[in-house]
Amino acid sequence: MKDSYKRAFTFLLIGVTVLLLGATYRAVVAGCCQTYSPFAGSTAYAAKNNITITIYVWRAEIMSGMGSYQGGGPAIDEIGWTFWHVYEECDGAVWEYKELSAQSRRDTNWAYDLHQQGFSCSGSSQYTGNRGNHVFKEGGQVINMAPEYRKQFP
Amino acid sequence: MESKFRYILFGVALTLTTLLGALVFSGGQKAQAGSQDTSILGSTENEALEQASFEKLADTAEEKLSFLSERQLLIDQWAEAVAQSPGWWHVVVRYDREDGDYGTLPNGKTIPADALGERWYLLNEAGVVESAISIMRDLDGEEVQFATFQDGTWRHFGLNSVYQGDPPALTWEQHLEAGTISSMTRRELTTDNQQSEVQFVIRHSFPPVPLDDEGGETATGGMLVETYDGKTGQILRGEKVLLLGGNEQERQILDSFEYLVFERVQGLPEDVRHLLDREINE
Repeated sequence: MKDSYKRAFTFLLIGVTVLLLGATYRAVVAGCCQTYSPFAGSTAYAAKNNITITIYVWRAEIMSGMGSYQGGGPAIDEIGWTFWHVYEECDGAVWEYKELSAQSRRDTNWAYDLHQQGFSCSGSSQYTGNRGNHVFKEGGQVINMAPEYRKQFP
Repeated sequence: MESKFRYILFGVALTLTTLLGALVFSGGQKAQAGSQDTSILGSTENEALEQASFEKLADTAEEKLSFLSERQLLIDQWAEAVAQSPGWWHVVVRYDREDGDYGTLPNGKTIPADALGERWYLLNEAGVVESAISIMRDLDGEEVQFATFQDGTWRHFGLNSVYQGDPPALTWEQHLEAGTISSMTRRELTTDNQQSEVQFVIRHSFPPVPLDDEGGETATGGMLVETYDGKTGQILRGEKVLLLGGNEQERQILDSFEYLVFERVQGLPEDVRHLLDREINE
């Protein structure tokens, strides 16, 4: 095989590899609802999720976790969230805005809660929203993370 | 050179195989999930829903498909007619909900149970909404909140937030899957002024879903009532009902709505136009 063909073929393969790397990154990272930060020798995760159970009912989830968003990391002094709000939006207007309970758990590595309700409006453009401030405390250290998750319904 | 090339080739091929494997695995997981979502905790609740729906589908599949097809034709007919007239459109919808606490917005305004949704949409030649203004008013006409959409950005003044998003739809869009419908009724109505209307009553049943707002009540189904103009295909009014006890007697009306205005206008009123210039102070 001529060297020029080999080089061209190699570049082609490397190009395809780079494209696939990009696609894989998007498949793994995009579309979800968590953020994280190094904390207390591990990683603190703040996650939210909105789930369409049926076209009438949806569920909001919130989770603070050490090591992963499902826990598994070291227990810390305090973990949870200082506020948790969920909302429904139809055609540019918020039709329900609900303030749910804050949560603070001690000496553990995760906190989780969910809320289920009927979707209270009909529209052509419908969204569910999930916002809140996650808090992690260990020793004198404190971090806060407040990712908001907004998702088209249903 | 030959040997170096083989090493490069082997390395690249190995990487490609790994990446393809990862993508196929990821795609397979998504396909299994179907159109439903999965909980953070990995709930399998939705699989049960799909199964129950398919069991109910078999007996009346053809009839349901026929009604659904007619419904979609009406929706498409109206959407195509509207798309022929680019420019500003003005829409007013009256919403009626059961009395209850729908919360207070970050802007301090209480969300009313009954409200008017007044909206303006700028439709381009391609039938896509370029700009929009959405105002919610209470039935006394007092503004509760408003939002604007321009250049792919929503500015929600009630939420005090900015989001990137798809253009809103001007005409009714509610895609329904035949497989999730337990039964469907079609009615032909004639109004006092001899306008023909087509009404669909679409019933869904699903495994019990506990609700946090209904004092431990469990939703076991739902019902949509949609009424269309039989001639133009425009949706005129609708109702969305949650069935709480497995029958149509125990119900919670999530929402009922009626289109009061759907008109092509020459431009925006001056008191509305200035809203497009407003910015969120986050």
